[in-house]
Amino acid sequence: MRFLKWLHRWTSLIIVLQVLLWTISGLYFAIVGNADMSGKQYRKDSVEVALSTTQFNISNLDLNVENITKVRSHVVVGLPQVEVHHGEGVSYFDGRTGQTWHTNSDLAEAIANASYIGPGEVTEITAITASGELHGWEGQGYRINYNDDLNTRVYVDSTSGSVLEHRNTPWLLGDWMFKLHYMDYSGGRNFNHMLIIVAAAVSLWFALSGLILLLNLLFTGQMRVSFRKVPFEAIAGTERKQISAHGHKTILQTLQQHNILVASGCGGGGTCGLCTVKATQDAPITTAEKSLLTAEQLAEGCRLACQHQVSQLASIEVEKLCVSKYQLKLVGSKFLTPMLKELRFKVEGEGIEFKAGQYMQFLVPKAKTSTRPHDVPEAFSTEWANINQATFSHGHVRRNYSMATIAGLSQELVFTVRYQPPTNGHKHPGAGSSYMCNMKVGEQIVAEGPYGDFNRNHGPERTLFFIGGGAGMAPLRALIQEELNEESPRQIEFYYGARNKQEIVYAEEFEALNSKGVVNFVPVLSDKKESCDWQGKEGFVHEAVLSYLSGKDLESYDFYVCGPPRMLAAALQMLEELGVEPSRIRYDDFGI
Amino acid sequence: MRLQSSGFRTWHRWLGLFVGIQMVLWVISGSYMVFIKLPFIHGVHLTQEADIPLNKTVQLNRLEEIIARYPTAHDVQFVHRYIGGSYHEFAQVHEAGNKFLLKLNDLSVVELNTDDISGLAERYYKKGVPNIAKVELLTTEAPSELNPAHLPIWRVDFDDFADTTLYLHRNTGEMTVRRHDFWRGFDFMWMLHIMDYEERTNITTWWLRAFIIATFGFIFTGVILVIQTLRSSKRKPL
Repeated sequence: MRFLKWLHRWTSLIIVLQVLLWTISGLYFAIVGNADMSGKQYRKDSVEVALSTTQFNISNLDLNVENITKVRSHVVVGLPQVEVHHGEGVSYFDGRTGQTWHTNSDLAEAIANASYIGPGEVTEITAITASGELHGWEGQGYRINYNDDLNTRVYVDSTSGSVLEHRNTPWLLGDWMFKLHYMDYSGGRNFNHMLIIVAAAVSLWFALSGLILLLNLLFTGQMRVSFRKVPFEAIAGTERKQISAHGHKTILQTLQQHNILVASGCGGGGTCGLCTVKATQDAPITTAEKSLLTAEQLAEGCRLACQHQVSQLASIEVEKLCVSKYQLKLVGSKFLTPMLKELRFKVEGEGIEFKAGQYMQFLVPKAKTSTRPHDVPEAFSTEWANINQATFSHGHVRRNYSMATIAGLSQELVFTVRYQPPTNGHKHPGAGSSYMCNMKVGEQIVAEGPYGDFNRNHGPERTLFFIGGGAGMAPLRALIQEELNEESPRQIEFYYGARNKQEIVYAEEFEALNSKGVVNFVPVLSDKKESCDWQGKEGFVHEAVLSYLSGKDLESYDFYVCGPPRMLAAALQMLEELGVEPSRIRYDDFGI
Repeated sequence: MRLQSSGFRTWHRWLGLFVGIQMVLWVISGSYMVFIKLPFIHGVHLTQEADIPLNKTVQLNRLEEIIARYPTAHDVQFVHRYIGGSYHEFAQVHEAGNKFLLKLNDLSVVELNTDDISGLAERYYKKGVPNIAKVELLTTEAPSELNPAHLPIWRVDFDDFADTTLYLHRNTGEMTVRRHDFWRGFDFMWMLHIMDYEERTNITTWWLRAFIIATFGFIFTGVILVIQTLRSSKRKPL
């Protein structure tokens, strides 16, 4: 079912626009109806004129063709016409003279008028050889325009003296709808071409996968509606909250309704795995839980709140009840490297209890923000030389930043924010980072949290191996501080990647720890300046780690990785290729 | 990251129960119509021309006489058709709401019988050896696959793969309507597609409109959900 959901979602991305077009054009058809799209509002049913009203001289026919299968005599606006069907097609003759039929513009007008019952009059007659409104027709003909409310035009074929089509404005609109509905933009109204066949196949899969998912929901009772209220208990630390809720509501819905905050990324879809709660009794395990939670978590009773109805689980424990919104006041803001600032906030009220490695989500308000902070130090002015002073507007965004210190030191929270300059294709720098870097001391901002479980593994004999880069320093620094606070800290390796020496965040602090021998701090430069006097390692940080690890016993390490997306991906791939057990790798791809 | 269980999900599921089912029917019926080529549905492959070329000696000059005898005729066609066990030349006369054949030699009116119709149907039939199961003249009741305006008409059923049925004109024996099982399937799918379960012609029923409008809501909630989920999946659980 999880795979099916995934597929349903991606198929929807591919096909949703066309489904929308089908629906829009379908609605148009259902509202307007066939008659108004036919172009025939002012078309008279053919009038049959008796042959006896004219004189046929059929024996004069110049029948110089083979295989004549039919000779047809009829009257065209008072004139006798003979139609001869033969091996090469159809020929038309004037029934009086036996000469080839010829339609001049006066006759074309008469033919058009004979087919027309609207209120308009002819305004224009144009000789044509083809028309965008006559798909597949080519030859000699006329377009006769009428000045009626529908803007009617009648097309007459010269060769046969017959009316080809009536067209008007509603027809044109309808034709566009057919183009959308049939995906045939040639006007041919062909719905058997390759493009629509592919679209139909994708839609077929899309609809059927939806149906299967729906049936699954029905049969597993997830769409049951219950008007009966059931008692439900949420235990948050020492607090017990008794709730009465409709039995069919999910635990997630119920908790949120009662302002008990639980993280949720996908809004109850069972895809993000964030809304974990602890069941106090035996609870069934859904497929979503099987794939998103570890066996250990499941054994401990961890479940996803979106996957169970309150009628199934009468009592749960919420671990993350401490998540809430805080008002933070900026008390310090300084550049650590050319593009990275350390921001210090004071928490209003009691303070925040969090674990090292966790992050806060900042609610950056809608604002007009400057592209350059006001306090770029002189030393970094060369890096900022290319960034022009301007202001840009941005909407409300949420941004996650990890705490760069361990808890309990003070009510102060420290974050490292990397200024996100405008990159290819983007006119403006990152809204969140620009806003944060532009904040002035004393200003306030709301943040929500703490979130995240980027925490240390237990196990006394293990070496902690940190791999970081850029602003990924923050949670790693917090974890290292936390470890060093232990009674007997374990061994710590810390490989940190930066482009150049200037960009090493908290360089002095870690050099000091390095010389004390408590942290083996190894900075690795990937793009060092030519003028730089650097004795340390160069290259990409994951490569440096790889060469360090060769020949080492991997079993003795726990890895903690945080950094820019490309560095993170490379490091994780490197560890995977080394065969490091996934449970020994912890990473945060988010809190930077 | 959001902290809301999505109300859109609830809506999407419940709308799915009502319009989603119809959407599945739309897609299935639409796919049938898309996958199978329209000329095939129309049975173009089933028949061929059965008249043969006129003789060089055809008496076109009898037209005057025919017009004199049938002064209300508005259309006269000379054809060479297989009737009575062999090919003869006829004048097919069209009067208001009626058409019939005259033998060209004596201008007598031709009455078609079942043997004539079998002979013609075998010659129209293009799918191989014709194997006629039944020939009947429908006069009062049309099957659902035939517009009653065509009555009276000859119905010729073939015993073949897709149950071909050819409808021939009562008086002239002309090929009028072709039907086979793929057409019948198409007609059923069309009925599902436009939701007119009676006449299969009305595309403007209020319930069709209502379902389409509800579909917009279904699509809208779905789009919101996809956006939410894709945004959230950036955060992988540790």
